[in-house]
Amino acid sequence: MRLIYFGVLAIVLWTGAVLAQNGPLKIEITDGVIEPLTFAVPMFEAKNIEAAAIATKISRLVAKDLTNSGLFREISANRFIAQRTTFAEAVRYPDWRAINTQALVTASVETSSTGRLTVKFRIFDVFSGVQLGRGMQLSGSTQAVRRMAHKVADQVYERITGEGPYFDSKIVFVSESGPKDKRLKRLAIMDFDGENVQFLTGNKNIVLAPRISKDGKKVLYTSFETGFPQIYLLDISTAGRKRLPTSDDGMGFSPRFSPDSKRIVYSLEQGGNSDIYLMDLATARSKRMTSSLAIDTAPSFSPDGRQIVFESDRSGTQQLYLMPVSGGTPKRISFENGRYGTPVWSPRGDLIAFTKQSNGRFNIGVMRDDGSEERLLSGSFLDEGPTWSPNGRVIMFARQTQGPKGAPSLYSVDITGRNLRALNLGAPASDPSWGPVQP
Amino acid sequence: MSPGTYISFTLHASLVGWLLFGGDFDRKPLELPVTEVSVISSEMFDIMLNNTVPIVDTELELEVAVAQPAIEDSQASADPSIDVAPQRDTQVLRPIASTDAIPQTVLDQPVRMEEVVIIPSIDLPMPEIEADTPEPLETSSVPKPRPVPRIAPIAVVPPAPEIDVGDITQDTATPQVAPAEVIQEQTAKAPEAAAIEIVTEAEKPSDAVEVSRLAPPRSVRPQRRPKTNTPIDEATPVEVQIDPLEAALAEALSGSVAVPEPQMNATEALAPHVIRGMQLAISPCWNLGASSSASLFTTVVVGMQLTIEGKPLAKSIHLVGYEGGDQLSAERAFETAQRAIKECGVEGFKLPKDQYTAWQNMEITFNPEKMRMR
Repeated sequence: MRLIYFGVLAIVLWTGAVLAQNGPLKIEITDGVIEPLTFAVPMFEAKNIEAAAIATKISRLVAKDLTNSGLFREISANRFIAQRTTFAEAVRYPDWRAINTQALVTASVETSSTGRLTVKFRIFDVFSGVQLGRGMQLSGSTQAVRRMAHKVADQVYERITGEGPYFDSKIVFVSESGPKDKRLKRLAIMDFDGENVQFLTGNKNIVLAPRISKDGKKVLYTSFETGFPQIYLLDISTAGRKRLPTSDDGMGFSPRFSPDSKRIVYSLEQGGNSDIYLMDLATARSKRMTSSLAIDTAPSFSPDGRQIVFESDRSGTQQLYLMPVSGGTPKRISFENGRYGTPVWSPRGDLIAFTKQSNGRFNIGVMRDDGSEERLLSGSFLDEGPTWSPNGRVIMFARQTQGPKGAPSLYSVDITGRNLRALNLGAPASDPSWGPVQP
Repeated sequence: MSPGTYISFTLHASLVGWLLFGGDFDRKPLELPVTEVSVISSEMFDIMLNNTVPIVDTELELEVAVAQPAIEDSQASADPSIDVAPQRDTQVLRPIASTDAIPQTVLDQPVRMEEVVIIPSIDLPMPEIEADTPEPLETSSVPKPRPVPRIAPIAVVPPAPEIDVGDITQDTATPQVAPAEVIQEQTAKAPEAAAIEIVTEAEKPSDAVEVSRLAPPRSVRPQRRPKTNTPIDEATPVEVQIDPLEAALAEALSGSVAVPEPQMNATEALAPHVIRGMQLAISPCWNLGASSSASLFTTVVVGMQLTIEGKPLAKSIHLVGYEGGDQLSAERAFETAQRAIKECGVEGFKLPKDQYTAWQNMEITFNPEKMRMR
């Protein structure tokens, strides 16, 4: 029996050796580099004279979007070997390889007499010498030049990185003006890059913490219109608004939509105690979710709508807790030193962003929903109020500068902690809430 | 009674007393699983089914609301670490109705939204001009040199030589001693020297200059299997290339043909420093800067064939398998790996040609574990 066993074993080993002899050479690569991917956007081809200026604008906007993402680096046009690149022309890959271009975007822009704008574009992987995906075509009005550019950039970004798009999205925020002790605040909406700012409310009443719905059509916010904070629901398309019936004798604040925008969670303060409530917008019925003597606030839904994360000081310090929407005992998830607040669940569901106060500084950080893998992405005198980009890759927040003339402004940072950028709005801004990618 | 009876009586009395009273002192009520159940109306059931606002009597609804206790829960737990489940699962507040006390106010202005952009998935025709196909990657990333006139159109006066004037003056026109004869002697001796060159090379290197220049720097025969416990010096760059011309000349001179050892695994047949050199050659081009978060958790295995010059055959590069991600992240990770291979292999990887059969086929595992965001 033993002889048979060793005989079979020998045959197996010999067969393996023979097969291995003819197998490929196996190498493992574990080290690489983290650098922006180089790309070139030659001036888009204008199919007619009227489209020339638009083609220039779109090509520059596409390059700007990609560069601002921090994942791409543009190759300057003065390094191009091929000085002219038409959309129908075959790509001369060696020319682009020679200047170390890894991705190339070519496009044509055409306007019609009826005011229609058509953009056709292609994406190429230069070193592989292939076109990435299929050529695409956008159509819209000549008034939508910026959106067309953001759409093109989104497609390039998505095709190369594999992340979802986010350039063609809007952000609701609080626009501030006036001296620090008499600051006027009003709701505003803008493109993701800070352009095209439009105001949603007047500046007579203080407004706080706007939260845009997942479909991008409605905004929840807190207003002091009645003298104390109440929650309002605003329709962006009509600018109509109404107060939500949270309570007659309490203060409602910190609302946030459920993923399907049919429910909201909010905080209600009554008699000095704040708890979390869940409201069905169709019936206006509210359900109390927590009933502790502590301050429970800043709730946020998980992407599947089954859980909420919120902040509470029930343990003595401000920490993050998780609980099912259906009810149950909250579970604490933050245990590091410091105070945690304003948790926001990533739209991908993999991370929770938060504000952390420790060592005299405020940080924006992320962690898993079990509290593990905590990473701080920013830190300053006052960083707070994170909001996720629609693809869950970028976080925007408000940073307040120190001093009597200190003012808040909006910043964005990649979830890797790289590419921290200030959004230049020309005026103080706070409480950003990032909307979805527009259809 | 005997002492044993006393002891037995005492113990039994204690046991009976503990059974009767002791258990109650610290008995805790059993935790019964409680499920909150609420009776809902038919209207609410309609809402759940159809998500429509029911037609209800508002007054009656408000009466129900009044009948319910205040929002503030007087029975809230005193222990802040324990969150007691709410006593009510629903509380009727004021319904949203058109007669809401606070009228809808039209604000500054509605937000002007641009026309919705349409993205039809249209297959645009490819350019008619055939694009260059880099297979294999003969195309150099360096621009091709342009022809330049070797003869200047205008004669230039040669610069004056730097002359170091010594103490002894000498006629520049002093004839050399029989220069032609020396050359003739060298050419005549070359064939003869070839036979005894190996013997005399060390002793008279000047006589064997020509042959030693043509000789390869090392034997082109397969090397012995390296010891696995030999430490690899990662700091020093690896030079494993053998010039093909030199190798061919050496083969012609020695009359031997390089044959790899047949009984070796492809990976084992190559020296560790060769494999390390290959890793170092690809790593600088493996750029994960534009990779998605999911791709950074995806390990891909890429297979390819190489030419004798070490250039990867573009069409042979394929995805063997992946681990740790979905199909999309694997595709993007493969594209990143493919880009690294083609970018760094455009000039050909420096590999020992005499062991071509060992590295002709390769499988490279791109493992981003160390590159992940932490």
